[in-house]
Amino acid sequence: MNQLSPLCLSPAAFADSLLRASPDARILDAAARPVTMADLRGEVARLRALLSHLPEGPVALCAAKTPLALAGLLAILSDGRAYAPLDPAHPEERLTGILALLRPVAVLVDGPAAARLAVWAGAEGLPLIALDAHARPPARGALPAAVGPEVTAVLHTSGSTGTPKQVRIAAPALVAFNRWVGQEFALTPGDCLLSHAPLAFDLSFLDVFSGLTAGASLALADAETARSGERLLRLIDSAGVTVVQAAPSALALMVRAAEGRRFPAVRAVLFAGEPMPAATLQAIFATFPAARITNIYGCTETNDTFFYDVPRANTPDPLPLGQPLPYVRHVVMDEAGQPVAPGEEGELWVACPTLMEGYSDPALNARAFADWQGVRHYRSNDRVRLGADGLLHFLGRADSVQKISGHRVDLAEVEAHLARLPGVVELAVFVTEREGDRRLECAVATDGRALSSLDLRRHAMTGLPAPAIPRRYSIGPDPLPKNSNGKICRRMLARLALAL
Amino acid sequence: MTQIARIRAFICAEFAPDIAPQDLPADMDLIQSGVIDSLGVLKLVAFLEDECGVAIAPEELDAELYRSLEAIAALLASKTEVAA
Repeated sequence: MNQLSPLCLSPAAFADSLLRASPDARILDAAARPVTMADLRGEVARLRALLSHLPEGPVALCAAKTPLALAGLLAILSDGRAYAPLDPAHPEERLTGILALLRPVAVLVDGPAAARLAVWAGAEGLPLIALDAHARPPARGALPAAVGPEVTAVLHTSGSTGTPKQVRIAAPALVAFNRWVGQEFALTPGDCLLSHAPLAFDLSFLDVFSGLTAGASLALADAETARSGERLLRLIDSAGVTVVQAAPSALALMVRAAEGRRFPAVRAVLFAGEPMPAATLQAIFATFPAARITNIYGCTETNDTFFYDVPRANTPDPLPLGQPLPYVRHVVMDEAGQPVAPGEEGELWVACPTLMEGYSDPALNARAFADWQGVRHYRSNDRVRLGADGLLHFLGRADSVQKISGHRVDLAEVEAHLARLPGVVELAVFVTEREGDRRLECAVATDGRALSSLDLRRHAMTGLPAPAIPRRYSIGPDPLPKNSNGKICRRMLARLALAL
Repeated sequence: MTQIARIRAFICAEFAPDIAPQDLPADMDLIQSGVIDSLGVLKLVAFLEDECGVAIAPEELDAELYRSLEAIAALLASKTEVAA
């Protein structure tokens, strides 16, 4: 399946292996219209010719997720460059902030992205290249490349301060990951993977790169489709999707829209990125009756590092992170950087071949990397514990513990407990501050049944101490606001709560 | 409005604006459910003194006495009996 030798792992060789691995694959757009690999290769060749005269350096990609955008991505790699996917749903300020940090030699754009970036790019002398262009843009003067030639993908994640962190990933990391996915989930050219996550999100590595490596077909959900459970189900059905990977909140959209319909052709459902509510999980079992259901844990910096196959009976709640991927080394550390005794709480450190090269910011690297037993580890900032079941359990982000009127409250624990109340589809707990008064608030999206804050408080009392019980509730059937990675955005919720 | 209905309305407005007063059960544990905390007890005591005309002694600033609407009603009843 994977013929790559470890020696030829440049972006170009990586792109070449993807294009050669899948002669019969089809790339379907959100309306399930197929593009053959031969046609895709033609587009890749055309776009590569537009890039080949540019000075050395990364090329950004800002476009809706279509087969043509995928051709643009592969053309950038094929020309021996790192690709930096930007989410067109992001505010303009964030996009230009990322571009200013990245200093790409050009940006591949679709029409709407071109309109949004034209003024800024014009002032900066940054060429915008339309994905449907045939003529080369004028080359700009060579700038010192901000990203080295070993880098294949440059992703940007939201830092806790709101400043994006630039994550640099080399081709060997992607190849190692593709090999694991292909083997663990037995991907074949007969499979079709739903690509739900935006290209700017690392979840897309599995859909796009692992899928193509296995010769499988891809069904690309654009942003509009990704927000609609009904459209996603229609795409799954008409594209013949066999493998679904999405954030829990996206799966919640699908299973709510299913209304009793079942999709037995889906043989694997993978989810990652946030905790899975038990009620959503039950609905996933019903909607995808034949699927292996797998909880995957990882982050942009390391890619996936743990996984857990969810049993349909006696399902634990919350789900454990599970067992490490075969190539992952890990250790649970105390605050002094020494391993905790088995079963004790600590920060998860991981070492793996899928680890990023690093951030652009040396100060972030100094915090993120640490050596243990002579091996470079990534400090996850996640608190975990090894269970008596031999599986790793997630306890919360290091920063999910907040002080509320003098009490230490773990928001992740509060959310996990409240989310068990029947009727809860999505739930987030966050802290608001009014005139120095910090209090817990809770936002809930229900499945339509009339839940009151009294129900939530009563349920909270069964498992939480009084200081950990939210003081204010907003409850309704509408989905909670998400960031473009599909994760519930607590910062937005807190802002909304304060505006009321 | 009866006295207990006014207290009920005050508690909901002040500590749990999302609960309709008629929905707040008389026996619900207000402390355990996080509706009232130690600062909330002080606010409630101030309300009882101002609006219900009772005097609360310092030794009665015990959260146990305000644990539910029933407990608060019992406390008020004991005060009015003494006064009568």
